[in-house]
Amino acid sequence: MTPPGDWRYVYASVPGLAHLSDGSDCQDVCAVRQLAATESDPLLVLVAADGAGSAARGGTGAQLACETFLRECELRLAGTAPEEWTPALAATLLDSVRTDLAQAAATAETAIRDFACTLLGAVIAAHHALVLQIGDGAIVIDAGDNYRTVFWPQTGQYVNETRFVTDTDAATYLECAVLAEPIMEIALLTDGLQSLALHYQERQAYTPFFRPMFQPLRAQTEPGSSASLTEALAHFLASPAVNERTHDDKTLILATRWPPLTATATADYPAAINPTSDPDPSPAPSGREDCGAEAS
Amino acid sequence: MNEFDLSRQTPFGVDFSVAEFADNPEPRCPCVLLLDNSWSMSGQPIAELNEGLATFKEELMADSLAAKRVEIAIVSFGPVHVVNEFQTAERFAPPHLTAEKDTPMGLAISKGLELLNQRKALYREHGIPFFRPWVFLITDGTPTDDWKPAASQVRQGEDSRAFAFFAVGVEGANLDILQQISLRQPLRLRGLRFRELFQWLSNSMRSVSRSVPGTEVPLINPTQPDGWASV
Repeated sequence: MTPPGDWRYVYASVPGLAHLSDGSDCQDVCAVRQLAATESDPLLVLVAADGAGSAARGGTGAQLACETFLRECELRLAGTAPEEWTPALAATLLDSVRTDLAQAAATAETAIRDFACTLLGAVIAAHHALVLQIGDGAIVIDAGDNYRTVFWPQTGQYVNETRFVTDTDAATYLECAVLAEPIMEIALLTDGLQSLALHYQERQAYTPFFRPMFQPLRAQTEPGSSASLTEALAHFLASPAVNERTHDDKTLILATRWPPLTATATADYPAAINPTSDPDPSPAPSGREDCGAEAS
Repeated sequence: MNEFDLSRQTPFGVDFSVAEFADNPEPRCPCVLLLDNSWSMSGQPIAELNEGLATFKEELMADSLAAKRVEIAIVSFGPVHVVNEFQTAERFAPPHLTAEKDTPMGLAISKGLELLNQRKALYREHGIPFFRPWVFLITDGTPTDDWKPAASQVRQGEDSRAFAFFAVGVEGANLDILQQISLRQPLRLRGLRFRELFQWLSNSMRSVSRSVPGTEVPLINPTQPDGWASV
């Protein structure tokens, strides 16, 4: 079968107008890292956190949550075969994030809620993925010709309410899934972009937002991230067209492993269509059980 | 090939702005006004109230976001009459109320909450996000109907956080009963400062309608020395 290409990714967090006008910092944080794994091909880890505006150290909390998530993925997932990933692992990751935030709060002699932030995380292996979410924002993955949200953003009863990893009952609201399917494209976004990238009535990802966003990334031939794409993404996120629709901080991570589109390959790999040379074009249903045959 | 296409071909001209944005409705911030137009409001009080309503519209319109997000419904009582169904501030036409008869406050509250429930059902049906609704009662009298069922509806609604209920007594109002209806301390309007009251209400709605998760909604205390209210 045609192996998936290398991961190419781009990510940026940009302050919203609300923060620019009062001189405070961007409280969104995001990161992407490739981890060497002993039991599988390298893993791609993506994480984004949105620090609560009312929390004194929401931005610090978001930074810490992302760092802990990356570290714990390396510790706990890189050495475990993806077929053995379970939702319990996601709960452990959340626990670690909460422990670190509690520690930071203790050191600063303040309450953990001062570090309140949301958390979106994904770990992707060749044929498996583990995704988790607390709070608003969304994780969006490819679904044939379209894109779909893995979870719908968690809002409370009202649009200006959500859940945070620092909530006492955070574990209750942890949403997680172990997907036994080869994810080819994934996006993570914080709530600042929700109204642009999601369709509320259909409760689904808005494909016309994502499809063109992934094009330049698919065209990139070298693996990893590139400075020019990162700059272009940050520029887009800070553009008047986006700011007209949202005053909040906004984060977008995009990652693809579609084989790079080149002039000659274009015919073989039309945009958003499974390569015909792939003997297993239809993604496995997003069942949560393992598909042993797919183990690498 | 036009210039736009050319720019997309250049390797360093990567442009993410070709992304299309979803066309979602603005989140809504519903506000129900329950206004006493009983006979005792005749003369200056009702005139000042009407001016206050016009101010309310003007002030909301001065904020482009609030103009699209704040939705206003008005139920007058004296007798109970739905003066305005829910409309965004942009479309809201301030009514001209006249003082009429009695003070059926209980029925007015129930009617207002019924309108609110219908509106919320509509929001949910269409996937329209919304903020916690405000119900704002202004009266200068004593209820002339059985207000106790309405009072328990208000308590239930506050307990489930279905809305926030505020009561304001104009001179002559029975604050003792208002206290039994509203969980929040009823406020006494200073003189006929309806204009300042509605400026405060529009400011509050502006704050609520732009609030994001994890952020405190800053509200100005209306009982400070130069405010419109006293406890």
